Amino acid sequence: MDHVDGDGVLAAGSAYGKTSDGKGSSKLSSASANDAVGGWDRLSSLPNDVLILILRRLPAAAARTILLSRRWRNLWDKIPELALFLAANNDPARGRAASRRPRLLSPPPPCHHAGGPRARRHRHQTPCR
Amino acid sequence: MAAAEGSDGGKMIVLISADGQRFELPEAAAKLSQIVLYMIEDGCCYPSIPLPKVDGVILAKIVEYCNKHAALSSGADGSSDAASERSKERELKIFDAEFIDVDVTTLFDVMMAANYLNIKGLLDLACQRTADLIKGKSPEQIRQTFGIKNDFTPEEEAAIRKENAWAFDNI
Repeated sequence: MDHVDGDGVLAAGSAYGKTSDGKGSSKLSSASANDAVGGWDRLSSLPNDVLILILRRLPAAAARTILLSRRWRNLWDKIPELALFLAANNDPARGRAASRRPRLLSPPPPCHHAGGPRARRHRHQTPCR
Repeated sequence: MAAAEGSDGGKMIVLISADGQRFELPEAAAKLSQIVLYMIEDGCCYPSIPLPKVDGVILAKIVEYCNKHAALSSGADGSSDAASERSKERELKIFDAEFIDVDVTTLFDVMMAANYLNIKGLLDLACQRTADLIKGKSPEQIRQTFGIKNDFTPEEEAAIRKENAWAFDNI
């Protein structure tokens, strides 16, 4: 996955500085945000596709993020490609983990007939029922 | 004026940040952004390209990244021998490491700008840096690093830990 345009990603606040609860600014400002300590959670306000790019760089340890907050747990629930990525990246060191991963391997969501990149990807992966 | 020529005779592109700052850079550097590339191809880059979602401080960093990568990209200076390529790769690696060694706020601003402008290399770099900040940390340490609020009840958290015990073996 390369660039993501936000179209078709699950609602997670704006990509460009707004959070789902309306905090933040409408532009990419370096001056407005606080740092993590005492500030609002900028990491969680990133669009789902960007968070997936980050999680894809975390191999098995990415699964720990399911415990961070509801936002992160929902990310795993709604985007099966995360679990598929883990399953596809098994190696001997992670084989044990893979064999005990049933809860993170969510069933695929219902087929979305509407447009959008995610719906299109889904159609390629799983036939409609 | 966006069609101005640079010192090397190449076309220059002008970007305008949200706070009205003006940045002029070679077309080859500007084209690292897919969004800007499409605007150039569509002839929408004259006299300048406004970027209302990126403020000047961050756009300055983006321009710095694009200038460096365009200047050191393969074949940019006409040389094509393997030793020269390896040397450029090393220089870019060092540049990238220093470029992305920033505070968390700037990191996220750069990441969002790279996503908005569709600069793949920079988005990858910022995502990798964020992943590096997460690696090796427990969920609680990750929350502290990024200010993530734990909105699970203790019962919910215990249930998730139990259901996914394999992921928390060493925590």
